[in-house]
Amino acid sequence: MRCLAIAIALLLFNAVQAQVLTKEDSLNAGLVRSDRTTLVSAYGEVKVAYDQQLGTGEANLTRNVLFLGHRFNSRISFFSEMELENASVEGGQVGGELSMEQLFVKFDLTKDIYLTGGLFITRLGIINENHLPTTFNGNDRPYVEQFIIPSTWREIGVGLYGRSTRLPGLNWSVAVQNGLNAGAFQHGTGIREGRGDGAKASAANIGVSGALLYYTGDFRFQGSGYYGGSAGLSQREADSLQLDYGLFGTPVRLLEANAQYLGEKLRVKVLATQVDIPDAARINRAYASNTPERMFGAYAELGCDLWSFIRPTEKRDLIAFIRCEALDMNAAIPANGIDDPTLERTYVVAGLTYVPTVGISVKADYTLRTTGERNPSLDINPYPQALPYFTDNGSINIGLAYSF
Amino acid sequence: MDRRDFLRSSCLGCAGLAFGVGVLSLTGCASLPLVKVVSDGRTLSIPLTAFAEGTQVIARASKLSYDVLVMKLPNGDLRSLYLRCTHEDQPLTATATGLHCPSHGSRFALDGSVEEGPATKPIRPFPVHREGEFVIIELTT
Repeated sequence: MRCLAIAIALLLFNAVQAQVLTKEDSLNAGLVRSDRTTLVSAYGEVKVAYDQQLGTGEANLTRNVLFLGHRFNSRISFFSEMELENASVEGGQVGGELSMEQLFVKFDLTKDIYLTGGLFITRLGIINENHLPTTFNGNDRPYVEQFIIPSTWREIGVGLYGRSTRLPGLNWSVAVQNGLNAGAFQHGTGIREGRGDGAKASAANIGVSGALLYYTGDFRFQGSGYYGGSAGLSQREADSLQLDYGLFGTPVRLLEANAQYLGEKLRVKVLATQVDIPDAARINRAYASNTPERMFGAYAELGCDLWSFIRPTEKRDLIAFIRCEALDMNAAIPANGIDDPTLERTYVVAGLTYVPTVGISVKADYTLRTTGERNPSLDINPYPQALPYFTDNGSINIGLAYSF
Repeated sequence: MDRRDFLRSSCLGCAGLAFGVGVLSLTGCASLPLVKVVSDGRTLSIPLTAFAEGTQVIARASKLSYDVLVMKLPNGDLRSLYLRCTHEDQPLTATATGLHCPSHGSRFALDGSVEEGPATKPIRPFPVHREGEFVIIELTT
């Protein structure tokens, strides 16, 4: 009790000291002297999903993220996002996850160049950086940007971003961060489990990323890439596992391009990406993780704001959308890999997103997933013990998303 | 065509479409001129000659952390917006049709209203008027 009382007192003291302001207050605090401002905000999503083949349903508070930022002066700011997934975290229980999604300090070097240091998300794809649930259609993030680009992908490092004054509309970013961990790669999840997430990740190998983003009229175009080592081991360990040691040893390469049309009534998104792991055979020999040499994926989404036809003067949206996704998580496998047709997938997601006011989205969608047949060589518990696998399955999803 | 070929073709198709639309768009792009101006901390003065080649100008002053977009509207009125996103104070990129936050995807219309989140608050225009051969922007709201 005493600890709790002290904690509350400290919190109150800090609140008075920092004078927590809303963003609106921040705007009113003055333009030239807008320093020493603390911002709080949040976003999250909740979803109910019904699985057609299994006949089961799941209700989940997918995530709630608390944002805390502080402007120390006109040139130095602090940003952080703490994320709680699946509503709760209990000791010794399988379930939720509490993690820092970002925590970095930004230095405004000039009006066009910004330096960031800490745990931050790189500009790769659309969702990785713009992952707030009110910014995409459908209850789930595009699957290509979960399985091929492992959003949200954050690592510790240093980044520079900015914009061109010679070609207004052109933005750029580069970053150097700690690399992936090939020892954590898992069959069926690509490079996702190899992310460090800022949790005692290996810094003996690094990843370099860069992106060009261009706005013109209602269009947005982006190309981005990543190249990094995935063997964060000592030389002795790497040698014993016959993996390449060094900053870029046992490399992973990711390339991505996307384009968006953001019209008043019509919105279009297309994205394509590919991941190459040339030393996949060595990774498999060392860790038996059935890592592929190549993965790729793409999607196209068409959205139409119906509300702009019904009541054009009102500031709300009712977006009907359809998104088609195709991905292959073992597009190329090494000689010691096993092909898994269930990782060749297509998704068709169609639904509605209702935005009664900016910051709130009510979502309803139907998702049809189609995959190849299961490879019996990968069955750990063969028939009749194995659970049935459905190459076609649909889910009905209803959800609510918010951000402020 | 087997599944793998179909997936590969789909991905290449999307990449080609994105690239093609990009090239087509770039050929017709119009850039906004950047004008460096002096500020006394309370106002910005922009010469009217800055609008000689268009109706939009980006004004930059050393005392301001962010640029200011100044627009000449079809009816002759003037409007100016501070290019700071109301979501997380990131700098905004202005195009001929709107304002975009490269960091988190917020979009604003040219009147400052929110077109797409995560920003929820509009950008408030500065009071602006004409004095002789200059456009005067009052920075205090």
